[in-house]
Amino acid sequence: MKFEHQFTVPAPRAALWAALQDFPRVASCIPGAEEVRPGEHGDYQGSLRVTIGPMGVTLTGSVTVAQEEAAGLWRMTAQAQDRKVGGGARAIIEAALVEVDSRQTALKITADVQLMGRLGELGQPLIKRKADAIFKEFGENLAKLVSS
Amino acid sequence: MRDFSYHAPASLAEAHSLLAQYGDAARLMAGGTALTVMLKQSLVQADHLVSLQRIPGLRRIHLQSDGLHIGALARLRDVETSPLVKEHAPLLAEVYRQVATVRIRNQATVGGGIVHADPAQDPPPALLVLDARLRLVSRAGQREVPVREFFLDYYETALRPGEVLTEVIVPLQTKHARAIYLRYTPRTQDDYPTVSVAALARVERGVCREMRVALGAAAPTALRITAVEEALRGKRVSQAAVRRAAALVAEQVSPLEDFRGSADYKRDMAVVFTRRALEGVLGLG
Amino acid sequence: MTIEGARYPVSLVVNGKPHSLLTPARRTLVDLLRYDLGLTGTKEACGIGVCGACTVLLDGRIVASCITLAVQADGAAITTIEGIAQDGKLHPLQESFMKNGGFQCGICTSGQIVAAKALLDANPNPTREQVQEWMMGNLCRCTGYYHILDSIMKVVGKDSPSL
Repeated sequence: MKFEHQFTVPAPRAALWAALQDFPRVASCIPGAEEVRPGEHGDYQGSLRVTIGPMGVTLTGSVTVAQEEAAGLWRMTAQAQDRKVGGGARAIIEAALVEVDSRQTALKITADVQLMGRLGELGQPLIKRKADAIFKEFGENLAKLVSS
Repeated sequence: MRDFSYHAPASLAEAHSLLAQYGDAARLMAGGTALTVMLKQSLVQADHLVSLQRIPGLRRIHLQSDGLHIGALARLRDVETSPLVKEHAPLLAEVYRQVATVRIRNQATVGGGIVHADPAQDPPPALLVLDARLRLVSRAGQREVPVREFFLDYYETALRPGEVLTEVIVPLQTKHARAIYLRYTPRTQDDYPTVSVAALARVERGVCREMRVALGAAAPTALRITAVEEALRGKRVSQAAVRRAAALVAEQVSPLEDFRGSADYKRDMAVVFTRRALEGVLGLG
Repeated sequence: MTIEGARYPVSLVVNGKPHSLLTPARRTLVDLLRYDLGLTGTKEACGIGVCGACTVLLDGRIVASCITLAVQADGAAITTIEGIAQDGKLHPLQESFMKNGGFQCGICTSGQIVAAKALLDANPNPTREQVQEWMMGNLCRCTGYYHILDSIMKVVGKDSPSL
């Protein structure tokens, strides 16, 4: 399942790049992200709580982050499980920083997400809709973070 | 299914206390047909299940000056077979008769269905064209919310933490209004509709005086389609006017693709079934 | 938090016989009938209230026992397929299903018969269309529907030939 999302952050490209280095702080902009902290192998551990009405899953797992500063590219590989629901997710998320002008930077996000087990049964369009909402809120929160 | 504690309060006050005590960890249960399935699939986690079934009075269907009052715990089968509903809101008796199978209608409740807020359910479009209101009661007090403002998103509603839906109030319609509900179920009759349409109209001497249209399964929530209503209200009834009005639906819906069809297909069917519903309710074709 | 291992009292009259048990809140009625009371005639197939195999009568109404919690049924009178025969004599529906081949593999049969009995109790003289509508939620994966319908219609006394 592939998603694309794009939003603009009111910060110069270099400033946004610098802000993105504090991964746990950036992760705090993701709605539902909890307890994101550095792991033992250069990765990050944490969980993501996603709800649709009364239904909810808590995906707990790890993220590894690779950066190419020259290309302005972030690549995150995440894998997570929900113990209770029985199922999990794997995702490769790429974020490209593209300068709009001296004060604004566009963040172009592409994500390739695989859902396993029961999570896969929720229906792709519903998941996609939820993912869009999460990216949108993340963008708004990130904009607030870098402009504060 | 993960284990949970079970509470069957004997009064609304007791139910409110339990909700206050357990907060997010508690889930209300009415008939349980949707909730039990979600619990079995672990899509819903509850530490405390609070059943409303022992609270007296919540299953009552009665007539008052402001309309027909249907208790939230009334089973779908109660509504389908109630002489009061048949007389004062025949559209609802007809719509509830078409939900799932008689076995489910014997268990599922009116209120449980509404707060479940699955956009493909049958009753919401009918409740929308009837301008029904919902009574939401909390510890602090109560409020009435039009069904029109209740559904917010897939499975999400305006119900606040601590609130309990206690009854649905259906205003009485003028005798001259006609109402119809069409559901498109190409797979099996007991399936959720691919798309559904409810319409209510009043025609005087060939002119459409009142028109209300609502669709189900065509967007994140059931919704009234005011563009179609405005296109017909006050206008002379004709096939051409109906066709033009129904075409407006395509712009108003945002169906999700699933195994019942692609988004484009559902949008097309929304137009087709809206046209048929309009023809039916306006006495054309 | 949940009280782990909590048990709740449930009193039921099943096929005329009273039972009082302590059961976890998550126990479904079908599991209570099968595993606690040993009444294995009721089957669980889909587990989500769609197929009708687990149909029982709860205070005279057909319900899906797979999506009914046992605690919800506290105080109710339940009739299962084991309670359909009376005084050692099969119900006319049971006789008719046997005589007219109203089943193949048998998994759906107890649900079919309990559902049909509920219909005939409420309306002893239904049309074929009324039977079809009532029974539509009882799935038969062997697709023996015509024989099932015929079996019911023979009891009603209206022999309408199947296609």
